[in-house]
Amino acid sequence: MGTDGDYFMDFNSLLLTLIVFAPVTAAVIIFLTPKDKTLFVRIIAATATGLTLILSIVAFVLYDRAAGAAQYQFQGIAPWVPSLGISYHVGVDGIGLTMVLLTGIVGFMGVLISWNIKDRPREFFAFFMLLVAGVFGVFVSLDLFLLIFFYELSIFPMYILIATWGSTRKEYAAMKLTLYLLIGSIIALVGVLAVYFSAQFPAGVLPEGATRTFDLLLLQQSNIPIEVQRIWFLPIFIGFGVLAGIWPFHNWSPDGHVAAPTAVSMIHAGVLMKLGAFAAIIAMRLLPDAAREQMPWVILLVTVNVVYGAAIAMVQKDFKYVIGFSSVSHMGLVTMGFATMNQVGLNGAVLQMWSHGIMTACFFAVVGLIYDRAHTRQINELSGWARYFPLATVAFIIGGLVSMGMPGLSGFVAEFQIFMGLWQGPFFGQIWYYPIIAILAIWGVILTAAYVLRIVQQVFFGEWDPHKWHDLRPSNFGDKLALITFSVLMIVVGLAPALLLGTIELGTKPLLALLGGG
Amino acid sequence: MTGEQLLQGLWAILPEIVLLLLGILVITIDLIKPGQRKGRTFGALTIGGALVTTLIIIYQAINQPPEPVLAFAGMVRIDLFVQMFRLMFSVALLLAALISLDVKGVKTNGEFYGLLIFSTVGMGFMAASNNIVMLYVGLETTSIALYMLAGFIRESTVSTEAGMKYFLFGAFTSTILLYGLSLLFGFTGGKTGYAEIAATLQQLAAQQETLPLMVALVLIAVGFGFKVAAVPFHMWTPDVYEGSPTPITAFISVASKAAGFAVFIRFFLIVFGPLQEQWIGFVALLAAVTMTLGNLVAMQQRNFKRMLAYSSIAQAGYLLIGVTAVGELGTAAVLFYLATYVLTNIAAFAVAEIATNATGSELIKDMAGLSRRAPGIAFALLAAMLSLAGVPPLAGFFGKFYVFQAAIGYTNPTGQNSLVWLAILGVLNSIVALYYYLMVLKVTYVDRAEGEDVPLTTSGGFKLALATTVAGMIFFGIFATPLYTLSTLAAQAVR
Repeated sequence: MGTDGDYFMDFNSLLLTLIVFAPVTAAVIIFLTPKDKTLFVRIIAATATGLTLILSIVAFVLYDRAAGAAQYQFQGIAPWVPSLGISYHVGVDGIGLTMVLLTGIVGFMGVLISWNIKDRPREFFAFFMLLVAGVFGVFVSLDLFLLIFFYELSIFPMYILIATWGSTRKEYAAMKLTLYLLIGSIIALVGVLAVYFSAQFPAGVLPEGATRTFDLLLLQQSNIPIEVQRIWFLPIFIGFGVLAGIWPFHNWSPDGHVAAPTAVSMIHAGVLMKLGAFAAIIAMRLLPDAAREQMPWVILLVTVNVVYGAAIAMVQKDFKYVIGFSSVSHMGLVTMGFATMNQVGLNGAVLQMWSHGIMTACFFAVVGLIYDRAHTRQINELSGWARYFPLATVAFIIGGLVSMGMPGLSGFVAEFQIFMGLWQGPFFGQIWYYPIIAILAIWGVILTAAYVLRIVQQVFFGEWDPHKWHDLRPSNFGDKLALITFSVLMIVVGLAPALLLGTIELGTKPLLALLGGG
Repeated sequence: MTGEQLLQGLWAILPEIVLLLLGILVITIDLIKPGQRKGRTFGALTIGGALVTTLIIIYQAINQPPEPVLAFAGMVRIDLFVQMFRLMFSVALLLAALISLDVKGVKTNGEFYGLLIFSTVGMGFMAASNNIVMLYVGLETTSIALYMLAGFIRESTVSTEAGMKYFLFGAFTSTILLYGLSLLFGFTGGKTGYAEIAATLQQLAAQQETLPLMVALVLIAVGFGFKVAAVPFHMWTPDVYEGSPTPITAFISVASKAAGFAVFIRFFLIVFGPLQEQWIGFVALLAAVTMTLGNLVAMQQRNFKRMLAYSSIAQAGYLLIGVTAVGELGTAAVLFYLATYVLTNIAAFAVAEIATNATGSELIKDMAGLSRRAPGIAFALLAAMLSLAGVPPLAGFFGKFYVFQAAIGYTNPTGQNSLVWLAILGVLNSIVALYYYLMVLKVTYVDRAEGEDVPLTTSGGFKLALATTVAGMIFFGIFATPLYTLSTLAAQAVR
């Protein structure tokens, strides 16, 4: 394994590294820029994220989908702390690739949306670049230490970004978010270490002279005693799952989303929560035996997510809180999809990660546009915005339909597959309560329709009173470009899901095989 | 002793000799022309001397023979373990002198720099000691100089109080240590060398006669616990940290702590090695209590220096985890952690001094607006706080990772991973700690203050110290391997 492109010999093995380090380089340049060169800072940020977007599209196109091609491609590896078996090992499978593309899109749009930020733009963009780099880093890591390194790297800029540039109880929300996420990640770290020390490798797997490794691909070939698996599966899964908003550890997420500045909300709900789900799958890869035993329990937790999240979203008065709780509900569906442990459910889960990422980024962009002008987010104070922002209204409605699971849009394909997966049950036999879960979870989808329609009706339609708002100004080119891109993507993927599903399946098939099925 | 042996011995302690001569030189110049303005002569001399010493240590470390060098009839033992600690001491001296250059009351005072140098000499001998008499002499040389430095600003009541408290606590615990050492001397039938004591203890442990030895062990742990600021021997820390001149606080918090750990590790791993099974539980408990209490109390502090004091107590707790996880991994983790801690804490205290100078207040809330007044200084504080909290890509992340890794990987003689609970407690503690480190950043980055538009000017010494430490934190946070390799080699040299 890993023979294609070891040690960064060619473009293929450098590609992912470029994607991760373009924003890091931008962050360093921005930090060194004099304070008053705002335009330069913006251009650097846009260039870096634009470059990563182009590179992630290139990666998506170049990924070899032929039968028999390697699962993990664009691999590059360099030793980091050799004595402990830590290496800088990057590479993506179908799942990681989809997430990299998502991050590329949302990151670039995030920069466009926050183009006109006024308070200390230099610091804002520098921390934002670090955040984007950390997120990319997690999606491409094939070494568990590297993964945790990037995972935590993407959490701490959130604190500064939310606490400084946020709104509505921002300090409280920022602290809550950071503590929740770091508790999760560090407990997962303990679990990973326990696995690291207990893994036994068949002869010939490890390179000569090494006794232990953090390399994910090597650890997957090791035998981990079932007792260790049983103890550490949930700490690792839920530890990372905190970032995916698994109930009852979801509490940071609505507060965090609401308090964050627009671009950060977009990255945060759009991409960062996927990081949690993505890292949680690592627990399934590492400890497949325990995953088979314990995932059916996890599904009980996330059922609460789906239904309760949607129900709470119903009764919110703050526009942004509605979106925040809707994320809790939708991310619940993602984990539910993983817990089905069959091909169609897993596919649905990954597609839901993508679909929710685009949809929620679109939502937050619209909320940010309106909030910047209205300076309020109380639903009952807003009305008639369709008159002023027709494009944003269309984008929001498309997002809303995606969120409700309307056929023809990306959300439908994802959610339909997740529910199919639930009925079908795990590959090793139906578990009696899975159909009940499906029946319960469908209520989440119904409630979603209710709160989305409520917002659309209240905020966008109804009386438009231009004299009520003193800070009205049209949206700029960047905002429009972002909204159009998001809308188009939601429709295109809805009409032609095979564009993504073919790639996703290349990642979920081996995952299922690792679990023992497929 | 032949002439050759003498030369070899002098070469082995060359760094200490250079520092000693430097200290004498500084004090002599101070005496020759009293009352004259000598500007930064002493500071520059100290920095230059520390630089030379650092280079000598690096040269010696590169040419270190694989076998430890025993000099002066086995009183002193030089190996990579000692060299690494000497390196930390001389770098700490260098940085402490750098941040003293513009501190009111000490900046042009030859006596101040002289004492700073003498205490570094003592630390070198503490780390290199291979004999309980040498250990005690080194420890006292260090401490007495530091007592005076803590109370150096005589016009200030807090400084005087700090010096007095430090002295009283220090004298008290050092007496207890001495009592413990004398018990050990008696039990072993008059042995003073580490190796000889260990050999005798081995026999006594085989005969199951460990109870009296445990008494000696606990008494000695009190003395070392004081040096590293472990609970319950930490009471002096907040007052001394708050009252001492800030460069001294920084120096005590890193160099003196490192020296404490040097003797702690040496003594417990070598001399008390035969009693390992008996003391692991005791030190684990010490680690657990130290980090938990340190963090919980640090959360409630309003004064930045006091907060850093409790944070340094908590850090001692994490370090003790590494001591508890006996073995190469654990010791290497402690060494790596300490080396990065030297950089981190000095940066934190340098920012504390800058902020205090600018606002006249040591309270955390008065650091508001710092990121607007001085983005560079605020960034240094950000790096220091996050490194202390253990967030990547800063050196502290690797430090914490190595310590926890060592604890999880530790297996006791019956083959169980008996320290996982300590690692989990440490992990939970680091979350508590993150809270108060982030609160500092919140104040500097988010809170508004009057006069936040007035740019804050900082002198060159501080800038240089901060630039060096921040660069070090980031460098070792990404390329941790060279330092970790050195730590591993040093850890292998302990036994």
